[in-house]
Amino acid sequence: MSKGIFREIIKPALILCIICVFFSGALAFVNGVTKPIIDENERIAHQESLKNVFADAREFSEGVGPEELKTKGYNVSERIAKIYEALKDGQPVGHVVEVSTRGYGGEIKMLVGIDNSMNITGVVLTSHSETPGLGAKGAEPGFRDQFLGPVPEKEFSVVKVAPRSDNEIQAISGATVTSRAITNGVADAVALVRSMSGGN
Amino acid sequence: MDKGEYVLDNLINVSSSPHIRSGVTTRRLMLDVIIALIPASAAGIYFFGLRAALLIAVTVASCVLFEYLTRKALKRSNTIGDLSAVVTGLLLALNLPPELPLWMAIIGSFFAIVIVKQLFGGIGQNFLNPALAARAFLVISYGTRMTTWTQPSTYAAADAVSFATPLGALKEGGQLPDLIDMFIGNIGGSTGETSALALIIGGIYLLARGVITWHIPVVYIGTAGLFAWILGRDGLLTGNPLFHVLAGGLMIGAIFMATDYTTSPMTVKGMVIYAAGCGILTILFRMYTNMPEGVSYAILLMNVAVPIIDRFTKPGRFGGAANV
Amino acid sequence: MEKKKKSLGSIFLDGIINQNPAFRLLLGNCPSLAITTLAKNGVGMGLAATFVLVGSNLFISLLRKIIPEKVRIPCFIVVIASFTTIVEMIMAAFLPELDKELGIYIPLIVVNCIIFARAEMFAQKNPPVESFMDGIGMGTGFMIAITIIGSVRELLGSGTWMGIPVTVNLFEPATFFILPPGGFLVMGLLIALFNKVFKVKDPRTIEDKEVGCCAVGCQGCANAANGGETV
Repeated sequence: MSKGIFREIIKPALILCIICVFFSGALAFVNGVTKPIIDENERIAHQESLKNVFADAREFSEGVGPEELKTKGYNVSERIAKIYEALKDGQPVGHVVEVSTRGYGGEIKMLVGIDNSMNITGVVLTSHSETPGLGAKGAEPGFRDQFLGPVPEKEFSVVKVAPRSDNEIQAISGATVTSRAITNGVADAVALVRSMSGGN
Repeated sequence: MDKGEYVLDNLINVSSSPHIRSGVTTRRLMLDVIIALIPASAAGIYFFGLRAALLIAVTVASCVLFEYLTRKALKRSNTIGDLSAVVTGLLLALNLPPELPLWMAIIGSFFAIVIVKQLFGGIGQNFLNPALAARAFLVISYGTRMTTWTQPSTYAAADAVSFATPLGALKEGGQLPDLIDMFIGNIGGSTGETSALALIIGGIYLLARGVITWHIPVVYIGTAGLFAWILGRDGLLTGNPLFHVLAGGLMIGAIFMATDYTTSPMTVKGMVIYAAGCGILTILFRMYTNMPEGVSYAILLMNVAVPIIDRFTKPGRFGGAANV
Repeated sequence: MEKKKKSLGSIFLDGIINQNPAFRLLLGNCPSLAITTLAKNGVGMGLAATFVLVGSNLFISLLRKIIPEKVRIPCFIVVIASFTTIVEMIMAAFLPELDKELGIYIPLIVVNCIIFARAEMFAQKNPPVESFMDGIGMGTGFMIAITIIGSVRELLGSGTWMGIPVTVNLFEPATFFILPPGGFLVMGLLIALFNKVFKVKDPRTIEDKEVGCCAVGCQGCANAANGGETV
């Protein structure tokens, strides 16, 4: 009887256990080697992506989430995900806002760089699932570079023909939803930074 | 009993390539379809100019050429004489924006004839409507070009380059055209879909010649209109059924595309289910997706469902238990 | 166990042609459809899967006399999952860009039917050298297949090959091919072409030999795993 139990239950369990322990050890070893490299890769990639929208800055502060901003009474829309302070020689020169806006194919994550004199320094889509050939064109410079430069007096508005004033953004042909989503994201980022710098 | 079984067997045999008994029959049917499409083609050329005529000529010629070349390459009999490639080419052109670059139209013809039709075995074997599948392929591939509409030459408006279709205007909140213009075809849209009048004339000809029966077009248009009314944008029962029936590709879809023999059910009961499905899906696509138009996807989806519909609507054996 | 000795070369070739995982066994369809928008992804995914396949085949073959019949499936899964995690960590550390491109499909190698099927069908019945070779052959076959799918889709859908512009400046590429329906279409057409070139007989008329698949590991792809029921 007891021999049967050993062969049928204890032995298989023991072997499975040994195999698990062995491979856990192997994983722990590989993890020990690769973890610091992966963390460093991620940190560099993040700093690089922030630099893409704020080329002037040398480094960026830790991100601040929407809850904390709300307690300070800033103008935080539900699209705001995080805000980073852009630093140059230790002095704040502007902000990078991480925005998450609803596009045609799902969430569009983007970064908007705004300097202290309210110039938009960059708009970059970090992840999106818009239709290739249509909405995905929103990630290309042709569309997003329309936002660059001083923030216009009037609110941004999406138009279908060539823009006549600096607050007009020409929609991507056939992808109005994406165009509006990105424009709303930029507008919210501007509103947040404006409220933080004490404007209206 | 024996007789019942005989009928059933017969039906199953027919299902693989329905209604084709000889080349002559196919040719006559196809000729009728071509004649029925003449008013719509003429309306397209009238409203969108000679560019529309060029588009039609190019797709028809390339479809016939691709049919010939594929049959030759696959060492099968030459079938261009049955005129089905001409019909596919003509329907494809009528479903494309009039200003579409011609090379894109040729790629569409290639997709319709080689991929959708011949690789599945040629006429009677394709499970999707070739012209509609090619249209869907082009919409997915060249979204911008496929949604760049030109205004009818007869339309007295400012010289805007791009021009919204009625459904586009509905989606984007623009100015809706009046129903008379929509009925005649004086609106933006694909080459052959705009003129409901011309399409209805063609449909009546097909009915009179017995090429199609009334079930699919009437049920399709009726269901679409009913659901457009029920699911109106200002709440239940507020929609404008007439607008939805006249707008977009519903007329050409219901009369010429959904009725394609190979890709529609065989029994009357099946046809009604199929057409009602097309109608509901069309309105759902129009109302609840970001696409302005849903006719082509609705018909393609129901094409795929045809084998199931046929299976569940085939006549039971006389005296036998329900046998599915 | 040692019924008929197959040469190492024929084991290798089996994986590439006779039992090509993607084109003949239709195993691992999820990655073959999902990541093949670029030829480069095909190579990366192929290499990652080959690494896991070789590692798990080798270990399972070495342990085949020790692993009790009863717990073999958990054992296989531990081995496969460990190798997959190792690949994932190494890729994230040294090839971060490729890792980002392949994303979720690297951890999903765990449930790739090819790996489990080879463990069940081959490695646990054959000595380590043969199993190692089987892993190499299957992995290479998979890599070649998905690189071809990726090349066709990238060329037609983006007008480039391995990132090098080919036709993109001549005409607008057809976006269809880099979207899911294009993946299915290209895969179907390539299977047809493969069958034509290698004169594959209708699988319904030939006796099923060694192919087939694990009973438990891949319910998700069970229909695809049935001994090359291709079309």
